[in-house]
Amino acid sequence: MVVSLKKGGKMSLSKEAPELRKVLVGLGWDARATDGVDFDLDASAFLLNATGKVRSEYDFIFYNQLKSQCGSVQHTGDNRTGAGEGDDEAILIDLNKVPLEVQKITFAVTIHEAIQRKQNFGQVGNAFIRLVDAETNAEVARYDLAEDASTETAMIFGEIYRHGSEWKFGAVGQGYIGGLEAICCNYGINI
Amino acid sequence: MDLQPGQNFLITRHSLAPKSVKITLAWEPAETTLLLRSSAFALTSHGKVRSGHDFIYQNQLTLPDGGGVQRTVDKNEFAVNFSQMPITIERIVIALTIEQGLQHNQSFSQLYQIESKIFDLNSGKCLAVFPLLTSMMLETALIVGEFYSRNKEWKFRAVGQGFVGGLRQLAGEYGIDINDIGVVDAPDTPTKLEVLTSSHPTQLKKITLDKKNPSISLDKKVHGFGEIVANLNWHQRKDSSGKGFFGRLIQSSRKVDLDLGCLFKLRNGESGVVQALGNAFGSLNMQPYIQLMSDDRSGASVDGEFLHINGQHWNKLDRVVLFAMIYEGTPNWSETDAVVTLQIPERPLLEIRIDSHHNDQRICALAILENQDGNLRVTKLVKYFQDHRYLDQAYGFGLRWVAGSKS
Repeated sequence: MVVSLKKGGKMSLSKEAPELRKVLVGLGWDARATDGVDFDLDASAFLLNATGKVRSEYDFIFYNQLKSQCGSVQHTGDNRTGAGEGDDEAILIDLNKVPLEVQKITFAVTIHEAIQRKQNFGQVGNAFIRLVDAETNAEVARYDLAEDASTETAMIFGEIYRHGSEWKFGAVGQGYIGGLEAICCNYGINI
Repeated sequence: MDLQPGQNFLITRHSLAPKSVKITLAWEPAETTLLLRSSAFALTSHGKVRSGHDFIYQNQLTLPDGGGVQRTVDKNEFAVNFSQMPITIERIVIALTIEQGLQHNQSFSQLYQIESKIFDLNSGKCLAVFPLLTSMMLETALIVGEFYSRNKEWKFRAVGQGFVGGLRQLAGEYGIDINDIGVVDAPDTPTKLEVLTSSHPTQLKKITLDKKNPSISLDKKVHGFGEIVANLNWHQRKDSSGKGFFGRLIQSSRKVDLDLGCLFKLRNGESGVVQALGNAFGSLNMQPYIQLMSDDRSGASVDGEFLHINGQHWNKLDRVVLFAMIYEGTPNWSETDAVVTLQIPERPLLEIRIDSHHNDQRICALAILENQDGNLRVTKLVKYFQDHRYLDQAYGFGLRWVAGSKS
């Protein structure tokens, strides 16, 4: 069943969806209809240890590093315009393969060169990020970025984290100033 | 509430919320040669009109089925009544277009800003203001904003995006062929592609700084502004040599010689002057990141004088005052017809005309370039001073001045 989460809401994936093994984080938006520079939204994931940092830069999964070394996190690749239906970028997580020292996987969505291009989520048509059970296609959580984060250019969407033997999902929905660089810095990656 | 592009707000919800609102469009400068037309498109959930009748403009003031959208006669105002909205209409796009804009090589960059205001029609209270700075916009058709229905409530989103190709392109996006409804626009509109592939994109548009719009602010970029080229050019007002128009253009025997220079202040507190006098030519790659490229003492160069500023180091500069100087002879500014242009990569060409003259003064402050939180603000000055000291005092650089000469 679909649990609609509000900002700050948490849910136990193990309880709500005991069969859940593969999680998909989907990012979608409409290609630009008006003139001007395309909207390029990027999804990325950070594999974090108990101190909330990456173990190395290999734990940062993004358009230039599509797969984690353990193979548990896989990015489907960079879509630079939002052309096409449904999710334009997606990150697939195989929960059973996530190494034990990874306590948390955080998902971010950012607009590429947002400041230079003077863009924010509200200017992008139908921008959303969502969490889906990859095996049943059931939607677990969603933010309509163009509505709820309209003046933001970078956001921590949510996080999947270990709680004892369970996996939980927390909807974070926190806007970030400074884009992907600032988010990376926060998790211990120097760009 | 001030809206920024992309921002939305909920209009209806609580019992006291407006049942109908009015949006008004205005622009600065209010006096303009642009023929500005406002219109509205009523769209279904598919983002298209039901028919040409859902296009509201000066010849069609309401929707065919009720008063959901109503344009005020001869005013750039639209009343939107949510309770009377046809049930299939989910979006009202408010647009502003420049009639025949492309043919006349016009665009919204010729305006300073467009200001939209939304009022509660019953109480008259202003609910939101959307100021949109347009000085960089090459579009001739603009989606100002849109009212839209979401979860059975009405919201408004500030948009500020548009089309270079004008009303034809905008209307086409919503499923209207403007030929079908007899709207005059552009019979043979050049395509967007032709405009964008011009070999001199920076020369596409020119912005003239004048009394009405004395300054412009350029937003910072991660890697600075590239190489900023300031040019001072002049010719003699009267063609005494009888060479006609062309001869005047390539005037080779100027009687008045102008020198271009600048005072600068760096963020580290250092200040100084770049000019031919005293051979203070500066440097692009070292402080002050400003260089005078050549001194055209004879006035023989048809292109005038060039001063380059290394915009990659803009973060190290605090302010720069460009000036022109008449070093020898009687200062006769009114004979020079001097023009200053500023070329900033990927930005419209900025032009400043020296249009007031004080023939008893030797130095004319042309423009000030200021670093405002990394942004580049250019303001026209055209103010005259007797010598460097007075110029320095006026803009607070605090230099020591001694008499000098060009070697």
